[in-house]
Amino acid sequence: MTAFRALITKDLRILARRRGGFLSAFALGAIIMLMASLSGEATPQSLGQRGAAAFWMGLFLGSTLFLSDSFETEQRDGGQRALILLGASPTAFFYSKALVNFIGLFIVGILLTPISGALFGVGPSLGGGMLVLGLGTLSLSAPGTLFTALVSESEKRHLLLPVMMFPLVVPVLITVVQSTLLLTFGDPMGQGSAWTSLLSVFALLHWLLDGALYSKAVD
Amino acid sequence: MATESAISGGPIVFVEDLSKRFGAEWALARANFSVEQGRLALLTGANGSGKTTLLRCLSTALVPDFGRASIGGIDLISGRDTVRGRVAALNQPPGFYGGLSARENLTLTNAVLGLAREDALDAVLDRVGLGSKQKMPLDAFSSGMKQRFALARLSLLQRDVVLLDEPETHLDAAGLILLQELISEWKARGAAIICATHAHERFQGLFDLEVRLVGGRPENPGGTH
Repeated sequence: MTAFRALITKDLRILARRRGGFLSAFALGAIIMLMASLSGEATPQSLGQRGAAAFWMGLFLGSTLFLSDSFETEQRDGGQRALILLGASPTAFFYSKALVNFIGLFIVGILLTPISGALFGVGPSLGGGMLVLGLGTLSLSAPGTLFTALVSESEKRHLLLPVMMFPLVVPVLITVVQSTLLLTFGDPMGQGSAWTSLLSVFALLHWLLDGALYSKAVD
Repeated sequence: MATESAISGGPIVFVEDLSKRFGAEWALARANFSVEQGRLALLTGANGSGKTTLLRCLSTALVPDFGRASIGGIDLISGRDTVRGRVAALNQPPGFYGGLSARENLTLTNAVLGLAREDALDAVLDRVGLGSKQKMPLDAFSSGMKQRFALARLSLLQRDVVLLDEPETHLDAAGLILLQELISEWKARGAAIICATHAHERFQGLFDLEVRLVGGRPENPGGTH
């Protein structure tokens, strides 16, 4: 078994056995969307426009709970630290953890999608919606993994994570909200592909740069 | 990757004026000693005397503020990654994944460190008395069982240098005998062992050198043979 495969297996096992972060992320995301649906005008147009922003803000804030939980075991048991001191590669830890966090956040996003549809009345098409959800969660999971590692030793990590991560992912959030709105209300000017390309660039940059920085964060 | 000193059987661990400061306090000040292959060095001293700090510097978990140390001729700071591949450390806490079973933890260690010893995992767990418990999550283990598991992982690694921080902690009488047997085997294999302990008497007949630390400073520079 290769090191990377072993680490992914480890993170998937821990994710499957500890469902707390997964359920918390889903619940927080759903509550934020509910609050957004109850505030402001209740016209179909207004609800639809708020829906995209509420969905992504709910998924972002929910992701901070999910990401914190993914590091709870590392922080409590010190398994990652011990293996790095024995010569394991921090980069392999980053990519396995970021990939499993991406899978988890993508599933949370899929589960939140029908709730968003029910609360706001409209939503993007299935194919385009899955593409934007995939790219958006890729762009959140990589910096999320890096920042969670940075704050994991702090007692105030649950506060620090969203505060530190938010400024970095603002461009990602703006891009995914714009992409979602274009998919929901139509794209007469053909801007959708430009926003999706921009989102792909954000995802690629985060996965490359955050992976390179991870060893500094944990070692 | 064996160095000249490792091949000749000479000193493999060199510590020269090694010092570490936390704030204004020197937790470790000017530690000096060397350990040859196949030898056990005991670090003794009261709580807070610098034993764990010294071990953490040697395992590269901490960067010393003064002095130098090397493992097999490789400097701890400039050759950190190489040193990590030659040292096995039992820290407190040992650092496992509590949600995974003993077998899953060992499989992970084997794969992540590229040890290629998958066929040895059962034997290693049997040796420390955990063969029948290998599917239990480590969170369900008693403290003594966790310590036995830590010894199993060290046995799997087969490194040139073994660092032990109070390895006798939580072990029952049979566990202590197991620890002594493992130390004898590691010495026979040529590993240099540095062990911090409060239970000097547990290692009678096994240790070759004692370094006593008082307030971070060696009471007997160079150690007592």
